[in-house]
Amino acid sequence: MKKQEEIKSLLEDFLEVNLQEDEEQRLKAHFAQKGKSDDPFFEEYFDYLRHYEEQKEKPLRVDSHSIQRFLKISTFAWYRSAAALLLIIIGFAAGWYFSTGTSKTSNTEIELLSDDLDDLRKELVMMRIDMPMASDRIQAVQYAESLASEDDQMINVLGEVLISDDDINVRLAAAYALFGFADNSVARQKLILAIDHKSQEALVQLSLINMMLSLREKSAISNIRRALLNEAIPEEEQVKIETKLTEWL
Amino acid sequence: MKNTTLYMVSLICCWIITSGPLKAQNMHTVDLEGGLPKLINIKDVPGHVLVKGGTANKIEITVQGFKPDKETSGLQPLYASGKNTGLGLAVEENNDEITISGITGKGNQQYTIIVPESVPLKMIWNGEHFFGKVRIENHRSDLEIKRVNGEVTLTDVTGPLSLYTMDAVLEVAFTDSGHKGPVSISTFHSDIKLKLPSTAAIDLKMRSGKGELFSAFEIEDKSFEKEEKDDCVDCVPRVMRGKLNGGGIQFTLTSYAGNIYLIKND
Repeated sequence: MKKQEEIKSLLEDFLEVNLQEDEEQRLKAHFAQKGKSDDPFFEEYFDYLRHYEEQKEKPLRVDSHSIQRFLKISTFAWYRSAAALLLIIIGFAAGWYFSTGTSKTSNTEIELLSDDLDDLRKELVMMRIDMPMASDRIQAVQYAESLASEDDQMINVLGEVLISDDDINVRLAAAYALFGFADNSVARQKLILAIDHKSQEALVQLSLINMMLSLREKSAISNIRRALLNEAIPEEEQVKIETKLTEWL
Repeated sequence: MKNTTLYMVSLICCWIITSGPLKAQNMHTVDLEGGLPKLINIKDVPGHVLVKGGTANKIEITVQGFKPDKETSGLQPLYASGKNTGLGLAVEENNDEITISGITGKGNQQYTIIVPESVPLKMIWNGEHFFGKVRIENHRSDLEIKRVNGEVTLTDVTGPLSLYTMDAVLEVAFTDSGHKGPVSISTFHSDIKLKLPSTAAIDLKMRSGKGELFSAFEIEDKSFEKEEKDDCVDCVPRVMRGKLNGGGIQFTLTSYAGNIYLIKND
């Protein structure tokens, strides 16, 4: 009971855009573990959601305008990000709820919800990708990576991050996110062009080269060979990679 | 007896007279009572560096083993922007950011920098000629660190964290509560030693090129992704995913040539 009171309090803070990060984590954990239709908090949460949707006159529609209104046009990007993240959690919980069979919600509505979640993720990417701290930008890349469907705008954002971000961990995250979309020709091209980009670090270059080797992407050979001129790449790695390239030809 | 007492009193007076100014010469303070900055940058600080998170609204810099250069006394550095503190560092306050920069890359001195624990901290060393030990203790906000060589040790930190080194020996120990993410640690040649409390709830992604992975934790939902999609049997890095204590904050650990160790920090 005490736990439910705590979650209720967190929800109220959430509605007032007043949630701290550790509280956000607790709420997230609650959704993950207790998100069941027989949970009193969950009913309250859906009461809120229904009320919210009545205002919108669109079932389970959560778009960027609703985010702005919901956030009361907060001037603090952090709060906006945190609340938008919680909306994503709400979306996940709603998706789970409607998939349990206790609801008559149609597949169309679930698909709508999935699209809305992707829209929210894109909003979060754009909010965080230019923030000064690397951890915010890594979070943005992780949102892009979790998109249910490919998106040209997001692939272009990841491609730009891969060659221009100051932080190597952000670049690595972008590389692996793009690798996840490697069946997309634009994403694959972004990976290839980043291999021998003049500002690229050896650790990122080796990761990209190995991605290309695993994809057997022959159009990347000249980029790989230019990258191997980087003295920071150990000689034994250079020899190993060159041997593989020779096997291809 | 009287002479001995007189001698002792004289000695104490001499110590008091000389130690006061000496202490002042080795210390620089930035008063933040007017408001905390949004970011503290620490760039190219030579020698050994200890950064401690504190609760006071000020930055306190002290140095040991530093010999002031009389030639530069009163002069302002041209490469490192900001005011010369006389401690081999320049400090610049600009638009909610404070930047502490090394004036030269030389020296084996020991700096201790106490910063407000809640202010994000960005520490960057450009170049391979910095070999000193870097320690960061008790920091409670965002950390971003880039260093090529030497040693980097983080103790009682919470994250979020982005840490990259080329060769520097790495050890990172998290506090027992209040973790924040994401946490990304990457290195080319070094081992990564990550110490976590046994209750840490995290999502793990570990990438190892030529090294091995070791864990004192039982990793849940463990899976290995081979990134090769064809018959490229030795394409690296290998990726392991898993969870600790049900999962939570995202930790991404990457070492191309080193091992990765997950150690309990209880």
